[in-house]
Amino acid sequence: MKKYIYIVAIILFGSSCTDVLDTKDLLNKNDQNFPATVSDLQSSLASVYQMMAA
Amino acid sequence: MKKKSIAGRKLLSYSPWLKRLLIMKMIAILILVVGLTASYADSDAQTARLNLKFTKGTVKDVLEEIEHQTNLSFMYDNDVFKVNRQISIEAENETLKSVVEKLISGEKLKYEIVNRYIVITSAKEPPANQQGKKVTGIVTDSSGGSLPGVSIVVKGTTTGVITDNSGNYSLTNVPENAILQFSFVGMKAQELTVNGKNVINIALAEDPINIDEVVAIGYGVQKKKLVTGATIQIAGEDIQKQSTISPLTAMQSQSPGISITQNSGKPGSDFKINIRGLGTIGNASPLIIIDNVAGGDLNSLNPGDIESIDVLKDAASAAIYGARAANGVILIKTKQGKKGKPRISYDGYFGIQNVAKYVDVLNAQQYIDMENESYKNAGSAIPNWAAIVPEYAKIQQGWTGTNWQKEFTHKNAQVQNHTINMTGGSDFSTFSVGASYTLQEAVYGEPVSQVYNNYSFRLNSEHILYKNNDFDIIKIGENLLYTGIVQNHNGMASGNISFNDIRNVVNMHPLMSVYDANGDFTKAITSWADVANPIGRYVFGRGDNDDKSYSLRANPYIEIQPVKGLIFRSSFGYKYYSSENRSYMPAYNLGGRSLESLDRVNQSMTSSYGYQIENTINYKTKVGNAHNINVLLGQSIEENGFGAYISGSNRGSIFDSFDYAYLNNVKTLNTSNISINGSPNGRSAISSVFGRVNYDYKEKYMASLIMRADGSSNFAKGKQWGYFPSAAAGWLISEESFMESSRKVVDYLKIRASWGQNGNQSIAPFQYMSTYSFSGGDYYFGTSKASPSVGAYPSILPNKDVTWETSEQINIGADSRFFNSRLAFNFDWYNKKTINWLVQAPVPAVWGASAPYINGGDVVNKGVEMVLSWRDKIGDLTYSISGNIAFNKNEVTRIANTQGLIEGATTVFSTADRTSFYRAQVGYPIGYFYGYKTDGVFQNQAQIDAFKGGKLVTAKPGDLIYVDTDGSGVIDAKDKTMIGDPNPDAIYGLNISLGYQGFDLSLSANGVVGNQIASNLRPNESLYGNWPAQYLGRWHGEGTSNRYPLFNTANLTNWGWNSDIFVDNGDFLRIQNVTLGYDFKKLLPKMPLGQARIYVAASNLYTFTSYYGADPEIGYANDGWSKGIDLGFYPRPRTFMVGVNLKF
Repeated sequence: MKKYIYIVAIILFGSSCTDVLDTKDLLNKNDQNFPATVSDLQSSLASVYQMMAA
Repeated sequence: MKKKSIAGRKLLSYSPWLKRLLIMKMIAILILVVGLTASYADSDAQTARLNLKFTKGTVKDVLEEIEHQTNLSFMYDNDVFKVNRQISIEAENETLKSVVEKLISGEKLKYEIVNRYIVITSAKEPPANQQGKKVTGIVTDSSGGSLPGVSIVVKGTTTGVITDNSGNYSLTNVPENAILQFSFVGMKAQELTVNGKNVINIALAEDPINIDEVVAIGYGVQKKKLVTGATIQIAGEDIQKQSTISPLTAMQSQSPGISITQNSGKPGSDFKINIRGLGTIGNASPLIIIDNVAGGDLNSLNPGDIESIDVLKDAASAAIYGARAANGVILIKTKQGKKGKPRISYDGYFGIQNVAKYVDVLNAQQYIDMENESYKNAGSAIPNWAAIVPEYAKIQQGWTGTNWQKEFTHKNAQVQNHTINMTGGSDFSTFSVGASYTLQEAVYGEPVSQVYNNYSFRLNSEHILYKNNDFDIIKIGENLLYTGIVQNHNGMASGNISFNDIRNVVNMHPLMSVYDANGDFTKAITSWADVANPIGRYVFGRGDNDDKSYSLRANPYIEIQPVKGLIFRSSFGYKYYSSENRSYMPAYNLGGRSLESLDRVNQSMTSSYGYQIENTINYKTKVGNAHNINVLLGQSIEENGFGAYISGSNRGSIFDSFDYAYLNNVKTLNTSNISINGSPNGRSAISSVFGRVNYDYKEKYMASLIMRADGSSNFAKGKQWGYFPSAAAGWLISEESFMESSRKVVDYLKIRASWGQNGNQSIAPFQYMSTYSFSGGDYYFGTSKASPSVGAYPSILPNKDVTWETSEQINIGADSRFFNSRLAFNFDWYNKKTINWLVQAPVPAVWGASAPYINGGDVVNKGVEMVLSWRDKIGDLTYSISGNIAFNKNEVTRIANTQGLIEGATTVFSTADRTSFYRAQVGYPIGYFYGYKTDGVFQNQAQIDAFKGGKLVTAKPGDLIYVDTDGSGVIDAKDKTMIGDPNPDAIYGLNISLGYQGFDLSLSANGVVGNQIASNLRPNESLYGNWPAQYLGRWHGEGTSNRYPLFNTANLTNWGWNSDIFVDNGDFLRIQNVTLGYDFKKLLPKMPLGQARIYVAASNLYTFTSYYGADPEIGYANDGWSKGIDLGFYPRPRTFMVGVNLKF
C-alpha cells in the first residue's frame, strides 16, 4: 500500500517544474538578444539615420 | 459484481421481494448497459466447463469462482440462499449445470439461467391462485425500442418476472383484477390493471430524475443532483438526432446562455462561441477539452462520435481550469466502451442543400432606372447606356440581366454522413470504435464549388489489469481520435469588403451575362474597368486549390486505486496536426484592371504538435454515515506549438493546370515573383497545480472549493503565475423533511450559489519584450549610397507587467422539478466582471513603435438564464416541450486610455465616411454601432426652412434629417452616437418532440431578440454596384420614404455617412431542424435489429426575420469583438435529408 502512495507522490510532485515556461521568441530580435554585436549597433544607428532622413 | 454487494450488505430492510426488485433493477441496468443477447449467454452457459476445488470455502467464494470462470453472474436473495455457509465442492471439467445443481442440492432451491444471470430462487411455488391466468406482453421505451430487464410484479404479491432481451414477458397465475407494476431503472414506474386482458404491452417513459446521472466537472464527474455550479449537459444523441455536420449547430437550440454563431455558411466554417456575453475584446472563446485533453476543434468532430458535452458556465465550476477558463469551458466526451457482446450501430443520411434566401437585388431595368435617377438628382447627364453596355440591346428586349447570386449557386448541393460505431467488452476490457465520413458540397461557388470531406476514426478502450473483489486496482486505457479533412476548391473569400466573393456577387451590376458567346467569362464593361465578372474572379483567383489537414489526438492513461476510494490517475495527451495546401491561379484577363499575365503556384505545409501531462489524486470517502467528501489534487504541464509552417509561391509554371501546380514546375526564379515563408508555430506552455474539495452532508447540503495555480509562458518571469479560487454551495431543499408533505408537487428543488475567479491568458506571446524590426529602417551610409545598411528599430513597446485577464463571477441558481417530474424549471442569475483585458493601447504615432499590450479594460456581463420543460404522455403519445432563454446585458466599465474607448477598424464599411462603425467604450456594450442618428427624411423645402435646430446647410428635400445630438446647432462628427447594439437582449431555443407507436417527430428552433445588424452591401463610393431591393424604398418625391434618402451620385452626406439607415433589427427565429422518423422495430418486433429507424429531416427550414439580408445570423466579424456587421454574408444552406439508424 505504502509503495503505491510513494509512487503516486513521486509522480505527482516530482515532475512538477516550471522550466517549460521559459520560451524563446524565435522570430524576432528582442531586448534579450539585441543588440549583441557591433553589427546590431550599426543597424540601430542606420534606422536612426533613416528616420532623420525621412 | 455490484449486485452482490448490495444484496450482501443488507442496506435495506424491505421485504424480500422488494429487495429482489432492487437487485433486479441493478441487473436491469447491467443488461441495458451491457446489451447482452440470449444466444451469447446461452452458449456460454451450455458450453462452459468448470474446474473447482473448495474445501470449507463459503458458498459465496464458490459463486465468485464460477462467475470468474464463466463470465456469468449469480442473482439471489440472501434470505433464501445462504451464501455464507461453508461448503466443500470439487469439480473437474464439469458443466455449469451440474456444478450449480451440486451447489444448491439439499436446499429448497431452484435455478434458472436468464441471459447472463444464474437466478437462484426458492423452490417453493408461490401460493397457487386457482383463478389465475397467463398474461404476456412486450415492454418498450417511449421510442418503441424493446426494453430487456424490466421487472414486472403482481401488486401485493411476490409473483414477478423480468423481461427477456426482446422485452417480452410472460406471467402465470395472475388474478383477473390484479395490478401489474412495471419498473426499470431510468424509467418511470407504471402500474396497469389486468382487467381480464391476456396481452398487456406497455411503453415506459424515461424518468428525467435519474438519481445516479453524473455530469463532467473537469478532472472527474459528479452526481448531477449535487452540482453547485451553473453547468449544462447535452447528450450525444440529442446532438446526433439533429443531423447536422457540426455538433455546434445542434447545440444552438439547447444551450441556454451560449451564443453559437457560424462564421459563414461555407462548409467547414468555424464557429464563434461566447458563453454569457462577450467578456473581452481579445480572445473570448471558451476552453475546449476533448477527452480530457485541452484544446481541440469541436467543429470538425463528427456528432456521432460524441457521448456527451458538458459546459461549465459559471466561474466556480470553470475555476478548475484556471487561467484559460474566463470564457467558460466546454468538455466533450467521445463515446466510451461498454461491457457486453459487440454492438454495432450505423447512422447515415443523405441530403440536398440549397440557398435558403438570396438578397433581393435590382434587375437590369430597375438598376438602370435607379442609376438614371441618381444622375438626374445630381444634375448630371444620364449615361448613354447603349454606348456603355454591350448587352444593352438584350436588356431593351426584356432581358432582366444577370442575377449573380443565382448564377453563382450550386443547386442541390449534396450532403451525406455515415457513422459506424461499435462497442463491447468483457468484465476486464471495454472498447468503443467509430468511423465516420461526411461529405458536404457548397451551395455557392458554381462552376467550381467547394467539396468538404471529413474522415474520422476513434478508438477508446479501457482495461482492468488487476482488481480485487471490491474494486479495480489498476486500470489502463486510451482515447484515440483521428480526423482527416480533405477539401477541394476551398478558396472562397468570405472576409472583409475587399475579400468577399458573396459580396462581389451581391453587388455586381446586372448589366452583363456571366459567359460570352464563346463560353468564356464576360469581360468587364470597358468604361467600368474596376467592375469585373465576380464569378470569373472567383474561378481564376480562388477556384483551384486543395486543402488537406490531418489531426490525431491520443490520450493514454493509467488509474491506480491502492485503497478503496483513492484513485491516482496519470495521463499523457498528445495532439498532432498537419496540413498541406496547394493552389493554382492561371493567367487570365477579365477585362479592365482584372488580369494576371503570369500564372501562380502556391504550396504550403504545417505540422504542429503539443502534449499534456496530467496527474491527479482523487479520494472519495464517507465519514460516518452522513459526510461525503471528494478531494482532488492534481498537476499538469502542457506545451503546444511545436513544429513549423512553410510556404512558397512562384509564377510562370511550365504547365498551366492545377494538377501540375507544384513549385518544382516553375523553372524561372525571379525574385519579384517568388515568396517564401517559414516560421515556427510559436510555442506556449502552461504549468498548473489544482485542487478541489466537494463535500455534502447526506446529499442535502453541498459545498465545493476549488483552487488552481497556473503558470503561463505568455508572460514575463515574475508575472507568470496566477491563482484562481472558487467556492460554491448548494441546498437540496426537497430532501428536507418539511418538504415531505409537498413532495407530490415538488419532486426536486435545489438552490445553489457560487463565486469564482478565472483567467484569460490568450494573447500573443512575448508582449512583455520589446522586439526589433528589420524592415523599413535601412539607411544608405557614405557618399556613394551604393548599398543600404540594414536598419533595426524597436517595433513594439514592451510592457513587462502584462498579466492575466481575470473574470470574476457570482452565480445564483435553482433547479426544480414538479408534478412527478413532468415539469422542470431551472434558473440562473449571474454577474460576470472581466477585468484587465489585454488590449493594445493606442499610442501616438510619434512614439515610433507599435503600442504595447496593457491590462486595459473591464466589462460587466449580467444576465438571467431559464429553462422550462414539460414532458408527459397521453395514451400512446409521449411528448415533451422545452424552452430556454438567456438574457444578457453587456457594459464596458473601464478602458485605460485617455478617450476611454477603442475604435473598431475604419475600413470595415465601404462608406465615404471612412471612420469606424463600431467601438468599445465605457458605458456602452462592446462593439456597439457608432454613427449619426437620423430622424427621417426632409420631405420638402418648407420643412427644411421651418426646421429648428442643427441641420446641414446643404439640406435639400430627400436628404436625411441628422439629429444634432449635442445641441451645438451644427451637424458634425460630435453628433455621432450609439445607433445600434449587435448584442442581443436575449437568445432562446425551443425543442419539441413527440413519439407515437414507433413514430417520432421533433422540432428545434433558436433565435435572438433585441439586437441590430449593420449592413453595407453596396459599396457607396462605387457608382456601379447593384442595390439591394430594400433600397427601392428610397425617397423619390414627397411622402415616398421617411427612412432612406434620395439617391444622388454627387451627394456623400446621405449614403456616404455612417448612420442608422444602415442599421436594422436583427431579431430572428430559426426553425433549425424538423425530423419525422419511424422505427420499423415497432412494426416487426421479431427482426434481429435492435432499431431500424428511417427518417426525413429538414434543417434550417425557415427563418422568421424582418431583416432583408440573406441571413440574420451574421457570423462574420472583422475582429474578435465586432459583431452583426453584414458585408455580404454566406448564408446557411437549407437542407432536406433522409436517413437511417440501425442498431445490430
